[in-house]
Amino acid sequence: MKLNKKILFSAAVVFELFAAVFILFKISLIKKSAESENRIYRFECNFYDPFNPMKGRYVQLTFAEEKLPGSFYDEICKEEKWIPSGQTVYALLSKDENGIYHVTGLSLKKPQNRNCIKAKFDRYVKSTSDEIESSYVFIKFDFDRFYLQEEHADYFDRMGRDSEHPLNIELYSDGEGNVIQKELYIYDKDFGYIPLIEYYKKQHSNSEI
Amino acid sequence: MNPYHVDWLLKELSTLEKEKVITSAASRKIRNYYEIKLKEQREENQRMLEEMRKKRKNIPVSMVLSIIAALLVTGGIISIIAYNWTSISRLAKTAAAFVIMFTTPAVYAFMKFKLKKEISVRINEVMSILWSILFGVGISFISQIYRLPSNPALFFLVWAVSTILILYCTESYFAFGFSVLLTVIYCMVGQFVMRTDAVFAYLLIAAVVPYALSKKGLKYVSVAETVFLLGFVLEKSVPGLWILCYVSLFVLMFNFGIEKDEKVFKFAGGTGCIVLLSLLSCDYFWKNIGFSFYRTTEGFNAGVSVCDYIITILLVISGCFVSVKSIVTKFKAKNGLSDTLIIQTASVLFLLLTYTWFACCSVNPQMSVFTKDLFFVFAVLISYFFMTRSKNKLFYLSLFAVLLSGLYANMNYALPFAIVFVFLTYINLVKNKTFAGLKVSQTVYDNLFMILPVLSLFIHSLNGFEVINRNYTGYCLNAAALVTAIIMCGLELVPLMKEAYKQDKGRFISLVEFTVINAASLFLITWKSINMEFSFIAYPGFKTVALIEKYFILASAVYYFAMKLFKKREMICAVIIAFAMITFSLYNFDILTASTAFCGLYLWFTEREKGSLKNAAIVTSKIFTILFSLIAVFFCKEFNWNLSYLKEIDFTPALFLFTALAFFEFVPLVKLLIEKKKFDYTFTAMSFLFLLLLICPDTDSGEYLFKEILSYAFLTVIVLYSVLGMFKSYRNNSLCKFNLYIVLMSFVILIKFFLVSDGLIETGVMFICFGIAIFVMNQIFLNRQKQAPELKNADAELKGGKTDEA
Repeated sequence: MKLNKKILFSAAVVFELFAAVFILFKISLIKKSAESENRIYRFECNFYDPFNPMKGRYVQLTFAEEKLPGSFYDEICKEEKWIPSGQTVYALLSKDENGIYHVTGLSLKKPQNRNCIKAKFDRYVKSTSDEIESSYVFIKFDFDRFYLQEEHADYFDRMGRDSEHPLNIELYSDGEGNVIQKELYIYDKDFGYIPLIEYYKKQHSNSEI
Repeated sequence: MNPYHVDWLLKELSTLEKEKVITSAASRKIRNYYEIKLKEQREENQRMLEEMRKKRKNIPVSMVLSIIAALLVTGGIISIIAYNWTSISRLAKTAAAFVIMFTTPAVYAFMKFKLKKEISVRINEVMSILWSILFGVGISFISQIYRLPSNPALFFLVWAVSTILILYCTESYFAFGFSVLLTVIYCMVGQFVMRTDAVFAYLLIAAVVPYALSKKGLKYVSVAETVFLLGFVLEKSVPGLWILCYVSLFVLMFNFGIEKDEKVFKFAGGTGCIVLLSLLSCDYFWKNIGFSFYRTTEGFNAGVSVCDYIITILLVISGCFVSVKSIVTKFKAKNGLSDTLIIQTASVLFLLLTYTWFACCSVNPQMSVFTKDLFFVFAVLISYFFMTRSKNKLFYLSLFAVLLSGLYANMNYALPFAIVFVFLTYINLVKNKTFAGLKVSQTVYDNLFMILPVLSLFIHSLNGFEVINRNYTGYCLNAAALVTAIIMCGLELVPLMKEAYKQDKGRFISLVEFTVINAASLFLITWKSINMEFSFIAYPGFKTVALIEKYFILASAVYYFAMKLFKKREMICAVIIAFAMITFSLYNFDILTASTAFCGLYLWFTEREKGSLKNAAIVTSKIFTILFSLIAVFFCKEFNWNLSYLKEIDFTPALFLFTALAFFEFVPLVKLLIEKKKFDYTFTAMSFLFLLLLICPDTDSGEYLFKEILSYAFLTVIVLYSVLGMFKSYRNNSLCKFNLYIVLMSFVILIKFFLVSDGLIETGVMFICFGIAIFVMNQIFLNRQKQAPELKNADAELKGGKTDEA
């Protein structure tokens, strides 16, 4: 193996540097684009607390918007004969009176001048119960993990769910449907929705008093 | 020759000369003689010293320990990062991520390019571990800081590329292994988790090949990676394309290996061909293949399938080209029909058979029903051809028995086995009992000789599962194959049997005896269970297969004990019975099979005691027995695992039996450990026992506190034991033992930490401290060893000074 070590070393370092900087660049691009065009979406979600050996504890989020009416599938099936699992689809979004976004349709192509985010098509399920036919299409969002400090994640895991006031997640989105998480909010009876960390600090300062 | 004594003698010479004890000529002669001898000895010492230094340079144990230390440090860093520090700002965390990623390459570059220092193998490995793992950690950290949605396939791809670059830069074994691992993970994640594709795997596999080919031991890894991943990476939109790919790949490897005389390719290609030939003799693989069954359902990407076509075409062309070219060159050389040439021709015939059959089954799916017949005829013809050239007729008699039994059993299960054994005959044929680099001893022949009839009978019993469903043409081909086989046997059988009897009378009789016992027991069971209702002897309807299985075990067990009684081939029988019992225990796990399997394994280990590995076998068998018994007790008591239908049965006798066995085995083991001083058995025994005890407390069985106390008590004992061991090894200057004790202690403590799952920070700090401690201790020890007495002596002698002894 008579390869120039200096060139190989430089190639390795440049590649690694490029990969790291590219991530930062992409993140800042999404954030800037979202802020300038006010594309900050808010979703309702629920959570539980698992563990990733590389990144530590996180809050695993589940979204009601991941289960959609079967009619949405028929819409995208007009464009393609069949949809493979894992295929990227665009979830079309609409805002309700509380400022929460909901998925109101799916598309295989990026829609023009509409709020949308990327998701992965999971499956289409059709079932009949008591002679009533129902069908659902399931999609998966890739922003379903919110990493937290170990004790914080433990605390929220033990806290349990509030079905009346589910968690809210805010996302930055660029025009292409790519997103990054902005903040995860939890309901507080005094202040309404506040960031998870602030809630934790508030609870702990109360308990200390 | 001691330089000190020589020095003394040379000084005395002048006195002796003055006193006229010796003449000046004699004095000169003596002086010359010793000076030459001394010079020669110095040169010899110099050479030995160099060799010792070289050996010290490549101490594998210390290298392994350095790797463990580096892995612990990286594990610690990961754990600390995973804490997700909320109080630290994003910018500071980002800077930390860059520091983590680029500190190691900076240090490496400084040492290598600035100081221009020769980095030792050990430090090189440590550097590559830190560099390659911490890059992935840094990227994860950044995406965690900025809450970027995860894309595992892309992440592993980038990580694998980076590791491959590190591999070529550092030429580290770890980087090679790690890049292979990352490629495998990338394929798995891409194909199964993300359900997208992993097309870049081809490039990743190809990228490490040049490095693997330049290192002797790594070729095997690279070949295994290619073979393993090819099946995963293929998109499989066209069913059956894998057949063409794999057959071409194996034939290519085999012929390339023969051409270049590369053992690894010969072995991988040859073994692959045999396995594939046996698999492909089942018509299951030929059903619904080809473009007529193109898959358009979810999970199959039409665009990515293009890669499948490209790789298939490349493999088919290269497989054909290399094989045919090699054969043509050998034919042109006119060296006669060598054994190698026959094997190569057979491989090409297999290639052509597969291509043709793929085309036929793709065009007309109905043709797949003839697969067994086709492959059977192919196997019979090839085996007949080889048999006529062979000297060991006795061995081939068994092979024919298997092939015939395959035919008799309607080839449902027998044929794959039969083909494997037929092609094992190559072993006997090629170059003094070696095939594709695989050495085969006489024991293997003997074992095969005994196993084959057993296996054929075993296959008969399995055949009872299958409902016979073959069409008229199938029967015709079957009959044709039978007639061919009978004619061949008619021509060969009588002379073969005569010769076999001449070759080894005892073995021949034991074969007949064994076959008769098994056949008789099987026949009696069948008779009893189905009341002689079968109409045609060739297709006995074995409907009570479960019963037969158990009786078959029983018959074999009886046979085993009979053989043991008469002291005939105990070990072989023990292997057979253990194999049969393990197989059955997989299907019918109940207390009866478990206990018989246990007995079989125990007997097998006991048989090993007669060989050269006597002591090791005794210890292994004892430990195995204890472990097996404890695990059996544990499963029976805690889980009732898979035994729901036996819930009403009282397990007390079984528990008693296993516990008693464990006890009776433990006592002699302890005795042995006390008596034997030659080998440090305690290390092995303690490792096994403590691992078991460490795992047990983690189970939720209602006695948590007791087990927790027990667990910590043993943890303390093992730590003390290891520290004591390290101290002793340090005093005895034994690096190997010293390192083994460190590894044992770290391993046990780490397992404990994983089971208890303490906080991330504590775990991280402990990992880093442990890693650094191991590295430092290893370094101290290495430095100490550099000044070892023998080295001192050698150095002293080199200088011509006084030795320690003097």
